Amino acid sequence: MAARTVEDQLREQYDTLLPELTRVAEHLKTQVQYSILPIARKLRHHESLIVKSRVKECNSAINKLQQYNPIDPSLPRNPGGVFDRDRPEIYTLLDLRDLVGVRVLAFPSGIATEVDKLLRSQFPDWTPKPIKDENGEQLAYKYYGQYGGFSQALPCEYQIVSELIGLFWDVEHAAIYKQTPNFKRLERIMREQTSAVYLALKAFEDEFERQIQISESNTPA
Amino acid sequence: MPRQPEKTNLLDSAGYVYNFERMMYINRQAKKAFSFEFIDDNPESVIASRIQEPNRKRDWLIYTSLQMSEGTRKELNRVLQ
Repeated sequence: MAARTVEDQLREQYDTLLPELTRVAEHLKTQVQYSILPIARKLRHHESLIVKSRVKECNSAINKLQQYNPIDPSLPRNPGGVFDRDRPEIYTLLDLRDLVGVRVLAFPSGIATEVDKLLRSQFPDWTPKPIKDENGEQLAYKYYGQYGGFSQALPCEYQIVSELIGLFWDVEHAAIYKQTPNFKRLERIMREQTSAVYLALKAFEDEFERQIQISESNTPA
Repeated sequence: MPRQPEKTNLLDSAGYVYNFERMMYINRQAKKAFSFEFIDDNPESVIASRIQEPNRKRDWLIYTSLQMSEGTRKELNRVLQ
């Protein structure tokens, strides 16, 4: 019989974890939704707040783990993106920080800052790791931590991002990461164009908010 | 540090092809590969001299500035064949 590969071992681990991951995703999403109710209740008609959750797909989790450097997981990546097949025991999906993820999409983006303040008080021990663009400008709040209450704590993350950028990421992710073969390394080549998209989306939001403010200041009370 | 086009042009003209899956410039005839990090971290003169360096081994010559375990190197040799 052929020996089990690292991928086989990780697929088995994924199948074992999946029911728990699904429960944790729903639980975390519900806690986030409940925590931000004070903001959601006061949204004006042009404002929006959406909470989504997802469990990382099996192949996506395995691919991400392949990028971990087996000598030092804190190194930026693993040259060539291959597993060290001499040491299958060093790989576990629990090393991934985002097996479960919750994303809060806010429009306009000023609401994201309010949401961040509320959620920080709910998850004070979680580690911040903001998502930044090429120029170091923050694009989204991101935190990771262990979330449990069931049979074991699992690695989770939550993000708070402008709805426009979040929806752009959905399309980008589907085009680049969910293809076979996967085009994930294209992102480094596309970064100039991606930066231009961020600038355009931010400009749209800034101008939209400015126009709303002008309109409100001219409306009689 | 952004990759300078002079460096990648050097690799292109020496017959290296960018491999999306491995994030490396690869030349199958020369059995040599350059990682993104190596290209980013080294000046053009170093890239040029590494391109000239002959590979007399049976295994691939992999230029990377990150540490690689022996198992990773072996697996990379297998998938690059």
